[in-house]
Amino acid sequence: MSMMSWDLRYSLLTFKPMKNLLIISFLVLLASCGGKTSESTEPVNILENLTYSVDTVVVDSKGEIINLSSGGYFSSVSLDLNNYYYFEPDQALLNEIDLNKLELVGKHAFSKEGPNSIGFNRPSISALKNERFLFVSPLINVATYSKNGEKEKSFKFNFREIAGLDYDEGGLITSKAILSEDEKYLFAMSQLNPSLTEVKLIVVNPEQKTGKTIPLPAMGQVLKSIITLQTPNTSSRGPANINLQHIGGKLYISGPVTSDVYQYDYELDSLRLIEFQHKLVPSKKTGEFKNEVSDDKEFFEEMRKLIYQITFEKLLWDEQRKLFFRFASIPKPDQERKWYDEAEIFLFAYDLNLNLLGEIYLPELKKVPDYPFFKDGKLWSYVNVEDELGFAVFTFNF
Amino acid sequence: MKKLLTISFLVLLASCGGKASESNEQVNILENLTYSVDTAVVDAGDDFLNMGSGLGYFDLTSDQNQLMFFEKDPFKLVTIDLNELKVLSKTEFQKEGPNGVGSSVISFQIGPIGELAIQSFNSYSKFNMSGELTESLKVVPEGIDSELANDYQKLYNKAVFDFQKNRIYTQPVSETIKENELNIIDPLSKKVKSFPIPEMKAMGDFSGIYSTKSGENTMYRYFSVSGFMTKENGQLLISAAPKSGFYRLDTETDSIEFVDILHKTVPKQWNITVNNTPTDEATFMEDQRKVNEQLNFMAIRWDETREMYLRFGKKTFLGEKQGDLATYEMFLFAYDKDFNVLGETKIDGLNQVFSSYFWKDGKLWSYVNVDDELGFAVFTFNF
Repeated sequence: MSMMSWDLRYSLLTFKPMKNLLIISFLVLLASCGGKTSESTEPVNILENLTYSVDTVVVDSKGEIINLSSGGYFSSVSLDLNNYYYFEPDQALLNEIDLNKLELVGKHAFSKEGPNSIGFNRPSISALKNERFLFVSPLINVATYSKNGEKEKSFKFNFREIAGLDYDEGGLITSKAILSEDEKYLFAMSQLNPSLTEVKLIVVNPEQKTGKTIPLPAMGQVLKSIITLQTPNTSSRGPANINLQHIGGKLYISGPVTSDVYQYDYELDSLRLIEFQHKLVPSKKTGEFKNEVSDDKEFFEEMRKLIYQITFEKLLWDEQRKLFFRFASIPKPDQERKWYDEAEIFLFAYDLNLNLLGEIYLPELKKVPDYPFFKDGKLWSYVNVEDELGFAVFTFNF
Repeated sequence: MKKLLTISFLVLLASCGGKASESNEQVNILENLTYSVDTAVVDAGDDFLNMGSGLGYFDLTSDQNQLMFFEKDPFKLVTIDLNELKVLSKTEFQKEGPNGVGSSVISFQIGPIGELAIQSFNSYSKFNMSGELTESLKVVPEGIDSELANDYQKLYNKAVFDFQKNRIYTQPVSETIKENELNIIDPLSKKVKSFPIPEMKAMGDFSGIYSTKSGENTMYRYFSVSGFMTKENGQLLISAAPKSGFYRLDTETDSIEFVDILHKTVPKQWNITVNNTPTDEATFMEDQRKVNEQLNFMAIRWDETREMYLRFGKKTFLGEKQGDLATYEMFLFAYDKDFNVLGETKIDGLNQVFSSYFWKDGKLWSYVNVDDELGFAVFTFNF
């Protein structure tokens, strides 16, 4: 797509292809050819008989210490799935782990000030090709860096700098910022602010400094479920998030409050809303929430209405099976009823067009695996094994 | 003079009266403070006021006869006659469009001649009382770092508009600013003057952020300390809860100084440290508790009737468990026009905190919700 076409109206396509699990009529046909007859038009649940095993592996840190105090938040997996990068925000150190050998193979120093600064707000990182990284310091900085910490290219833009944007937050475009694989597009989201009426995807052409916004009405519920406590000296904010992912040349926008997913094909400039009818879980969080409360007690009262409802996770792409997976959870209140330690965990599978193929409740799991990703058909998730970096590796059989 | 006023002149007067006194003891004018409280409830007439979210942002006209605040839903400017205790008017304001105040009002101020300055998350403008936008105050200044100049949210942090001088005071936050700064933005010439205010660093030292995460769910909790920037008695006063001292900008000469204040009964600054990014809830709660239990200085206000500055302080003792009520200790400090300490005291028997409050005719008015009606506890302090 040339950037010229941005002047054209983007197409908003709402797909509701199949509300049920995929009906495998083509399999029925195949079976018929094999001589067996079947009248079944029942949807098949490919996860129905799922079994799995979990191995925990620990990374050999070669005598070095990896400070795990920030959990797995500041980590990223290389596009070829061979390396895992664990960033220590306080020391600005990037740990490079070979996922095949399970060894620490490098510790790279980054800078929090000067010309190579990654920005003083704790950054999110995403691995790019050729051992390079996008660092996004919220409200401060967006830039690519080499493995040795040198800044390569700035993608830091003020809303005002980008021609064609009908939206201005009065600062920099940093929220959830990611790059396309060819690094010719910068994508970001509008801020999650309950006083806004819409969630928007922001698409920027960094070379031409042009861009546009695309409203995502199905994500509007996330704005209505932002619960904030504001007193003169404290503020609290309940869980509210939106995920912007780049998978296989397309963007996917999802959030914890709804099972709905947007797929945006930026090459074709086409947006598609995918809705699901999962059988095991509701499709979204429901109810009315007070967006602004004035004391702690009220804050947790509103939070309880929100957090113990179904919560959807990010999409996970299994390159080997060519399937999407997604976890969801229904948290169980803890004793203080302020948060939760345990939840009912569900797993869903979809084909590459996001048709629902399977769903299962996983009673043995008490929480959603942390920072999961698929590698070689197995699900890896971050674990802290007595302050050593490790992974719980799930082998699914179905 | 940084101490309590030495009452040598009183001694002289006393001498004239025929009594001899050798005393050069300092007088604490608040030593025998007493107070009484009345409740005032505003008559909403046939209408009612939506007090669901408290008084929110409010301001008084300069003659102190009227109070204005925004009712949230529908979005209306409410004008209260504080002498008659009745609603004078309600005026609809727009959030969006050419006369829009923008989303999320952050502050508003009333000017001397029927003007308002309203700051929101994405805009800052002057309005007339009919809700029409008369001038945008959101400019891209010249002669400063262009990235900051274009970053409204960072540049206009804590903005205060000076109607007399037609300029904006801000305390910008930016990676390029190493030391806290006061900026003065002239919206017409787009020039900026900047002054270092390093003592205000204390505000950042005593904040903490803690997140609880599980899967996609992250809850953030944050505590900070209050900072104040107000124009009082022709001067801009910049203070923060952890310090008795403050900055004074003479708005005629634009000279700024840090005024050190030494009280006798309370320290001039906190002697605690907190972890700004705690990784466990216990540390976060403990630090928050510590900060609250310190003497938190409040804004310095000029009392025209007494011709002195009055300033509250508070200590907040959080409940043991969530749901337990906090308890408070309140303090009052008085300074003369040159900021010599005239008095200081803990206010005995006062265990409520003033959150939305103002001084009017020498009395303190503190917002109270009286059965969902707009009310005030009116304190008469005798000293």
